Amino acid sequence: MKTILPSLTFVLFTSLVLAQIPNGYKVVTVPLPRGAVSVLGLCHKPDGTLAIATWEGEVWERKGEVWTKFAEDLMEPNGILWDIQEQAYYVGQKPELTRLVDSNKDGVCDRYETVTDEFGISGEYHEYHFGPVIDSLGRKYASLNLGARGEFTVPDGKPFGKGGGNMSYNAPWRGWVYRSDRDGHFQPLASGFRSPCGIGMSPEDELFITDNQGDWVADCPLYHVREGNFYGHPASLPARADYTKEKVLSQTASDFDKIRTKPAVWLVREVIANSPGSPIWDTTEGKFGPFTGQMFIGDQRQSNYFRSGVEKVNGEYQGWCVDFLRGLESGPVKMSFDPQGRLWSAQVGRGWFSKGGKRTAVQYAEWDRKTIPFALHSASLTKTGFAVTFTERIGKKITPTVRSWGYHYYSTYGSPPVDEKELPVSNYQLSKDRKTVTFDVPLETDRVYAIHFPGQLNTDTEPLDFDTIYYTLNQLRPAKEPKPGRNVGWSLVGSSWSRNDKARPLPPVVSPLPLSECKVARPSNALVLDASQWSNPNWKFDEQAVMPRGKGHNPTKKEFGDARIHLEFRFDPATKAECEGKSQLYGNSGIFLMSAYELQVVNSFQNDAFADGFCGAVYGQHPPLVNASRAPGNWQSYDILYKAPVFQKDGLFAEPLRLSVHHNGHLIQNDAWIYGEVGGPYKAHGKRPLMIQDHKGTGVSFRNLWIVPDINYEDELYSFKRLFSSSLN
Amino acid sequence: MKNHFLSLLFIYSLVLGSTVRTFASLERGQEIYSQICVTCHGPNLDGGIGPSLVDAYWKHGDTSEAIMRAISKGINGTEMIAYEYVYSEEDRQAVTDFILDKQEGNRQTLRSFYARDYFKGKRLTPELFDSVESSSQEILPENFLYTKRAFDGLLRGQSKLYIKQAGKYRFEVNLHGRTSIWLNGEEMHYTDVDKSKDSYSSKQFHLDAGIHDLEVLHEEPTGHSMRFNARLRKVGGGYWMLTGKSLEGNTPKIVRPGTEAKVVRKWIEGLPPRTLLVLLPNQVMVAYDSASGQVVKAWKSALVNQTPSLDNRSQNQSVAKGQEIAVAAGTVLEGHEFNLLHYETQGDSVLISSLVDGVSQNFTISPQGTDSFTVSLH
Repeated sequence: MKTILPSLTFVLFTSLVLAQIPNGYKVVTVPLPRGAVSVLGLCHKPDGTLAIATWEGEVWERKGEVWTKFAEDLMEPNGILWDIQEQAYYVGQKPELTRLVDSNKDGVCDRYETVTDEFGISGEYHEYHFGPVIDSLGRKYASLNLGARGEFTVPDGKPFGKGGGNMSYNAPWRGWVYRSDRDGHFQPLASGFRSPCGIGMSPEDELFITDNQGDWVADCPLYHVREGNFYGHPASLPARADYTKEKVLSQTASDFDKIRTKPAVWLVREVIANSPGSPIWDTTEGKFGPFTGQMFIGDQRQSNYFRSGVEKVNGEYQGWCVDFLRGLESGPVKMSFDPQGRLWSAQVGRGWFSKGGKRTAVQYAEWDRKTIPFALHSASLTKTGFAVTFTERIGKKITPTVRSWGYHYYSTYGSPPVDEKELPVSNYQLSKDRKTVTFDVPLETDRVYAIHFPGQLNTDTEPLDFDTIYYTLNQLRPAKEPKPGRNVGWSLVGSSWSRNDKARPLPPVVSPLPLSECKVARPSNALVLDASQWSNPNWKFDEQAVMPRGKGHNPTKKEFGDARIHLEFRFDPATKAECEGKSQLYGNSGIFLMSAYELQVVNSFQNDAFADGFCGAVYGQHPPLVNASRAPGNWQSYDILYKAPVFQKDGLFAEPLRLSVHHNGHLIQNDAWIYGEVGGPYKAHGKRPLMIQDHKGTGVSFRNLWIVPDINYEDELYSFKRLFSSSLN
Repeated sequence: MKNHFLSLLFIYSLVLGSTVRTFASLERGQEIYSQICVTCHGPNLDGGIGPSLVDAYWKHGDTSEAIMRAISKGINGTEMIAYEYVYSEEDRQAVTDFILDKQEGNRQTLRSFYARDYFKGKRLTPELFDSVESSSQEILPENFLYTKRAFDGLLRGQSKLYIKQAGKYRFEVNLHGRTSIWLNGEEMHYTDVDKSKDSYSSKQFHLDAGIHDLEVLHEEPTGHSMRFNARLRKVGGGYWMLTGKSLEGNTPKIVRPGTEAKVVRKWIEGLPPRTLLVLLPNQVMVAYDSASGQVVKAWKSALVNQTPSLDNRSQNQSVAKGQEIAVAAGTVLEGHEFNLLHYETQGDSVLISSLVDGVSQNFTISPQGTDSFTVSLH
């Protein structure tokens, strides 16, 4: 490792910061354009063009060494993304997610498009908006900071006195991360964040967020974000349908603890991070060194780059972090790999102290493509201890020392290490290639393990760059890892769930609107789906115009494209014996839009299933936003609006089926993006029959079915979402 | 003619360091300023393409020598060229004097830091500070005092105080630690407290128009950030801050009207956060709140001062400035629910597209005459 002692004048102002740069790497500072004084975000185009976004509201492009101003007068853009498909920049401005379009291609933005502004903003300065990042389907994700001041805080008085709880919920969806999949679309994804400055989308389309230590946040966390989950800061909970502010204030830390998801990795304070930025994955295929697939994250205070990696243990991600490079000019918050595999960062030292000392910088780290730095490569949990891998063969064997500790979960700012202890290490073994060390150590859940190799050298007697790796142990290795979800040819991109995942949070229960309030006028152009319209003779309407489920699926005779549908259904009350332990057999059927995309029909009144199998779920994909089920024996209503998927001439998928649904007067699918057919990927098709599913289980009947064919989904969507009083917001 | 002759003989009473200014010099300075400098720095010296020459911030220094150097040598990478090839030294000095004559408040602020030990138990005076060397010294372009985070030591600020209006003045200082303020070599304020209080007004004193020597000496317990807060107030009038938050290398940023219309997105006190500030070439600015669909305010001779928001974490808002003009009540478009779709500049106008109760609608805000605007629906 090179240790670079800064010049004397520098030392005077920064109290001796040592640059620690791994062998084979160099760090280069890039001059900034005049006026770019606090860089918050950066990204690259495939041609190598760099773009930066500044706190002061400007976007600059750098081609070669020449900077040009692309946009200005924005409100604190805290991240920038180049969308290759759309050939446009996205920025997270404080009040909105914005697409910056250069329609006349003169190199300057001339059209500012609001992609979404559906989240609240009170004006409180700390309501930062971080991102966006993009998934493989082109959808954007961004995170929303809580306010630093305001009315609604959640202090729990622990461990003493007023007990913190300073961050405030001043407007809807603060403390959430959201997805926006097209203009006007806003889908809150997960809650419980405090100051989620770091946001990253893994190459496997899984979202990760880093947060900042503070009230309800014991240390700096790296979260694996799963749709619907809650990550620990209770001030964000009032946005959920099953919470009110009163309910939040009536609960305690132990209540929140039951529903929260813990960090995949604790980025240990002071030694690794204080204000971590966005994770980025090494997808350079070796251009940036021997760390392919690992996460690189920068820290705003530490002015470092560190590495992290996760592994699935008992179905949940957990993992490690280790320092990588120190002595940057300022505090990195966002990073980007350029096409040459150099790791760039936007750095800022304004507002929050940065060890680097400079108010801002753009720097990149570059590997010489030959020198392997001697470093702790990664760590993995075994059933009895850890396996730690080095980048190079190690010299003399050094048994590591291991410490572990836990954290408090309370409203006070941060937590000290709790119950910190030195642990006995035994059964040290070195692999044949002298690169992997395994050892046994007592293992407990919900603890951080600091694994320290003091004085470890490689075979060339070089020391380690950083000799401690930190592993967050949430789960022990189970006897048998749970099987991953069944693959049906599509995945729930960006949601981090597999199909029918039993760990997925259940939809919150709400009161259905009375049937009288769920009545909607049948438009004059509606086609009544009476007995004459159905093709399966086993399904018969009775004298009350009620059609019980019959044998075999029941398609309509006619085929339909974009449509609006109304129907009512009723489950036969079943005995306990008929449905005990068989929740999916209580009245199961399904509305198969275009014969392929299933809106689930099953009794979900006091009859829980896996989330994406609930009544109103797009089966296997989207749980209903709320559970508005009525008790069996009562008629319930669906109002459905959908837009058929679009396929290219060659049959390839172009645009998904879009679906919005009301169940008993509640909006339960909000312009949802459908990933594929119920049992497999999209296959090109035109109009198709509507079909009702036959399924094993107790009885279910249908009535009052009608369809408005060939509607214009986009034109209808706005008023459709407002059909009922309950669904306005 | 006679009067004019007499005025030439009259030596202007302001004495600036070594420079003695005359009316002749100031007149010549004004003449050149209004021919050349005015294009970038504005008729009131408050800036335009170039920075303001009457605010407290002086990136390249605010001594006579520094201003003379900027005029003579120009500023690299800007439109400020070297005028030493255009004007004689005498003319350049005349412009420098003209600019200095317009200054008001704290200037040429030199900040020094000292280690604590030596000052323990001793009364803070300039002589005491002069008896040891400082640990660092810096001229502050902001012209107010600040310290680094968790600063541990003593702070000394020395500056020139430009007073245009003679009258009664007083210092307003919060009580925190030890503070000593000196004017023209005389102690005007001294406090030494354990418990801090929010504000304190010193005795009143008379100040003549002219340039005064100001010296501020201060020590406080090390904290997250400096709590010392001081200003000089004209009794019954405005004040100048003697302390503040560093712009941390930023420079004051003022968004002014251009030849084309522009839309400015800034957080402005009293305006909803989703407001679009439409700044038209006729210097009229229209605040359209995209969430309520209303024009909530409008100004003529308008600009947006972004500077207050540039320090620290952007806790402070930008400021919309101008003369307010009346706006019609009600929403621009008929409707109840408004969502912004996009906006774009079209020459001197701005087109705004909104979703109004689910229907996409456009309107244009354009300049009208010299001090008004029109909204036309499409």
